[in-house]
Amino acid sequence: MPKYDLHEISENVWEIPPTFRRDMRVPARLYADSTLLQQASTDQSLEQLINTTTLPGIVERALAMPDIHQGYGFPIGGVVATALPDGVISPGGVGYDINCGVRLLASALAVDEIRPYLEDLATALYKNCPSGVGARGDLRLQDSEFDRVLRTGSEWALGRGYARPQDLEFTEQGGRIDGADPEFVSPRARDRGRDQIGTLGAGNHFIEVDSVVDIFDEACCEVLGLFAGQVVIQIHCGSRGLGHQVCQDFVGRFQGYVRQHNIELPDRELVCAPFESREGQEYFHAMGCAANFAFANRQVLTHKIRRSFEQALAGRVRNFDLYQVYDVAHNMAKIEEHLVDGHKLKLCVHRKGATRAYGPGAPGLPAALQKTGQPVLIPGSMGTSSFVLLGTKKSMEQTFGSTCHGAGRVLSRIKARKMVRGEILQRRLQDNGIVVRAGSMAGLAEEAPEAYKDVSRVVDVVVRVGIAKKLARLQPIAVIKG
Amino acid sequence: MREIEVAGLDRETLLVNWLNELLYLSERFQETYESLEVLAFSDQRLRARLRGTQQAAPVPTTVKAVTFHNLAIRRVGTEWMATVVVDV
Repeated sequence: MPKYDLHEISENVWEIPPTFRRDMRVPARLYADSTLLQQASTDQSLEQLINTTTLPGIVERALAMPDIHQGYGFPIGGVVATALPDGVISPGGVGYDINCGVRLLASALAVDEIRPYLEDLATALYKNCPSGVGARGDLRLQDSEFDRVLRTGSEWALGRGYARPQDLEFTEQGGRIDGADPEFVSPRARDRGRDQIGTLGAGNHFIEVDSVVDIFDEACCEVLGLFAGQVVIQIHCGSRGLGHQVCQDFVGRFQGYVRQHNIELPDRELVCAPFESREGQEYFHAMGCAANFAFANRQVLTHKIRRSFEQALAGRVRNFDLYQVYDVAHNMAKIEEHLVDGHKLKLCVHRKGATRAYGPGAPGLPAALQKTGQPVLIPGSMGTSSFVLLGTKKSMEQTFGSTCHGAGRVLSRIKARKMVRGEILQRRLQDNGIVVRAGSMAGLAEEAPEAYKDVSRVVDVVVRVGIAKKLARLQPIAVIKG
Repeated sequence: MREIEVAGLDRETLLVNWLNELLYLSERFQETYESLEVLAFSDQRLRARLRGTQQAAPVPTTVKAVTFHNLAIRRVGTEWMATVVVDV
């Protein structure tokens, strides 16, 4: 690829040296096969990856996962680590939808037990889990309680009876980012989030009922309680309007900061401040609040999904209970320790459209997962496979414990809507045995599989380079979206 | 009718802040806007009167944020052209 001076340093591992552009501080690395590399060169994503190498305090290299595509500032699929205390934190490295993430719930049921009642179940899920742009939830919280949501995330939900202790244990970071301080969340962000707890939102957010169709590691699946033919549920959503406003607020505010401190950046969406500066800390505390909001959101949705299963299946199946397998974030900045050139460094690891993939024995994993490593949930595009992966020791060594997050878009929403008609897509899904409840045909068209990369290809790359390993493959049987 | 005022570091930031302000007000108060009357305008400050309509239901906008991505304001002959990317 002459345009970007890409060198294939090993199979599916590409690097752009820092000599390529004057302002690069470190190399840029992309994990991709030739098809994904070709797709990445059709938008601004490689340019954006190179731009991230200019961030002050960046260590080792800027990384991009095989689902890379164009974002704001950082490419989606980007991973950047900066060394504390002077290394920067950048809101664009987290994304507008702070703590957009995925949760996997599992049942004791096999698909055949649930098929006769699938339409009823889908209807209950659609009714109980508000979806769509601007969807409002049914919780009305006083300011002090809303503060508790922002400060404590899933722990607030546990106190309100929306969670079980096991749900928190099997959530990244226990469902609570420490140090979150509502003082730094603007009144505007609070306004936007206040009515949205327990709502799904729109776009590529969804609830999906899946069947486990392939098991790749029997022993690890047994630890996680997964079996072939099992009914499982994925939730994909984030921090709604609150997260968007927090990102907006600080991208706006940091425009002044970088100018004041003569920080030169190639893109205004890359604005940043040193992690330990007052401004950097304020963003981190606000980001933590938005992240906790998203954990609480997914937790309330979990509660509603459990209730939906009860409503649709009580008296019809032997056991409709759901337990939590894991919950991951794929838009986040975390303070973590990693080995860099043989030294343990405290880093601010930005993962935007990338998932933490901690290997066996890594800190912060529940006791039951110490031997397996951390589950990584990779939702495919609508109607296609999703994957459950596990983090590896190699991901800790190569990518600051990170891997891909999903399929990655190849078509804009507008192009997708022009190419695909929502009603036809709905029929196609139903013909394939997938029950659909969607609030908007245009919204459905935007999420057509044609608009996304092939998730199997993305997963094959991360497995091939060793930064994740395959555990199970899921196929949808019902899709609920706004 | 609403009178609003926004500030910005420069013209470009002012434009983003202005559009984000409209987005917030529209979402918060369930309003759409038809016209505006500029009361004061400089590269760093804009004060204007907005005329609009209260809607019965949440305004079905898919715009989630106004970004700085590819942001540009250029003079083209006697006219001004702006490029703004919104997150949908």
